[in-house]
This record gives sequence, C-alpha cells and structure tokens, in this order.
Amino acid sequence: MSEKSMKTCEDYQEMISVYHDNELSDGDTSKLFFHLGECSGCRMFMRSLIELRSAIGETKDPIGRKQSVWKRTLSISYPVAAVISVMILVSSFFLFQKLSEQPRIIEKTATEYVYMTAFPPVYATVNSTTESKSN
Amino acid sequence: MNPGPDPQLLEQIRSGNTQAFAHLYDRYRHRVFQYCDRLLNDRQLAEDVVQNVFIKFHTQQSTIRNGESLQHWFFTVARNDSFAELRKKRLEAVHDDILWDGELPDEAIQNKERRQIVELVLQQLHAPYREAIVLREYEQMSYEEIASITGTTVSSVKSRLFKARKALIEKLKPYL
Repeated sequence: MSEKSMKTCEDYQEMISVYHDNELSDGDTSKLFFHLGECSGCRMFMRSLIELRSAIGETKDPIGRKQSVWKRTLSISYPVAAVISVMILVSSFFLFQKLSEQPRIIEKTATEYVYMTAFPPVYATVNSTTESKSN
Repeated sequence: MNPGPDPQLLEQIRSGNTQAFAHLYDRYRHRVFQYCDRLLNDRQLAEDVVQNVFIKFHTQQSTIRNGESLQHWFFTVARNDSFAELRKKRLEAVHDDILWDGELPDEAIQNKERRQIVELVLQQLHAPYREAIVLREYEQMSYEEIASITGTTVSSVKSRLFKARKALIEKLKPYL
C-alpha cells in the first residue's frame, strides 16, 4: 500500500460517520470493518456515535412526528369517515341481531334435524326412540 | 383525500386552488419552522422567517420550474433568509475551523435532563455545522440534498457532519 493511500484513524472515523448515514460504498464499508476489527479507538468512536444519535433522537419533536404519521395513515375526508362509521354501525346491528336469534329448524328428516343459525347450518342426528319418548 | 405529490399541488395552486395551498402549507410549515428555529435559536424570528418564506412562495410560485423539488425550494429560501438574519446578528461567518459559537456556562446545564443539555449544546454549534446536523438528523436528507440546499459539495457535507459529530461527542461525553 502506498504512503498516499494509507488511511489514518481520523479518516476511518469520518467513514464511520458516513456509514451511519447509509452513504458509504460497499468497498469502503468492508475496508472500514476490517479496520474496526483491529482498532479499539475507532470501535469506541463508533459506540459514541451511536449514543450521540440516540441522544439527538430524544430531542426530536414528538408531537410533529406523531401528527405527520397520523396524517399519513388516516388521510380520508370527514364525509367519507362519517359514511364508513354509519356503515359499520348498521352492519354491527344486523350482525348482532343475527347472532342473538334462536336456532330454528329449517329441515327435518327421519334421522336428522337441520338448524338455521347465523353460521352455516348445523346438522343434528336424532335418535328416533328418544325423540318419540320426549314427545 | 390524499392531497397528491408536490408537482400536482403546484399545478393546482397555479390554477387558483386555495385548498391545494393549504395542503402545501401543512406539508412544509412545521419542517421549515423546525429547521429555522434550530438555525436561529430564536422561535419568534423563526416564525417570521417561515411566514416570509410562504409569502415569497405566493409571489414567486410562477418562477418555480416545473419538476423542481419544492422541498429544495422551501429549504433553500428558508436557509438564505435565516442566514440573512444571522448576518444581522454577525453570527453567520462560515469558517470551517470554527466549531462553536460560544461556551456554555456550567450553570446553564445544571439540573437539566439529557435532552435539554443536547439541545443547548447543539445551539452552541457554529451555524454551518448545526445546519448540517439539522438537515441530516432531523430532516433525514441525503448528502446530495444537503449539498444542494447549502450550496456546498457532498464531500464538504461529509466533512462538516463528521467534525460536528466529533465535537458533539467530545462536549457531551459525560451524558452519553
């Protein structure tokens, strides 16, 4: 390696800063990690940089960020929201009515009763002797 | 309803749609204010600058080229106006060898939470370094976007960010 291309720890630390911004090329990244394997000073700088970024992260405005995330996830107008709410309410009402209905017999054969429920029909096999006794 | 991307909004604003302007204001106002506030360390002044930026947008929107990034336009105008304000306060000098605008007295950081100490130390950072940190850490802009807004090169952005971070690590060592 020529004298000119020899990198100092200062150069590698600048590369660490660029690496944390996802702007370091693949070639330089592998050179950097090779150096980190043998330099505790640069490893320490890397740890400090992670700590610094986390400390700066604490100063970010949480209200502004939350608002923008909220706006991104719920970008519908009030009339549309109102229509959707009414539809949910009406369908919940019908679903509740259906679920609270007593099962009723919709078909009867010699050996089977078919009950109508809110869900697929329920088939029940009935012992004809028990049936006649109870009647 | 989704207000649509910037070029679409610009087109609607040019055709006199005030709702489109409201969407654009909503999209950039907070971000530009945060940037100016951190550059100027003065909320009132930052409010004034942001207001002027939107007034300029109204008067100069016809000169914005089709396809030009509105993010670039807003941040560049906000930067120029903020630096004009800093010049009035004689704090603008862009010397790459100056990292701090002043010393933070010990009393200023006593009994403060880490978050507040980081804010105070950031405010002491010399403006060109502070703005590199703000655009990268708070606005998550790429090196190319930062270089284009600040009128420097990508390699200068890299160098400023590195020097600023190194100085901040040094200064904040007891709190990291």
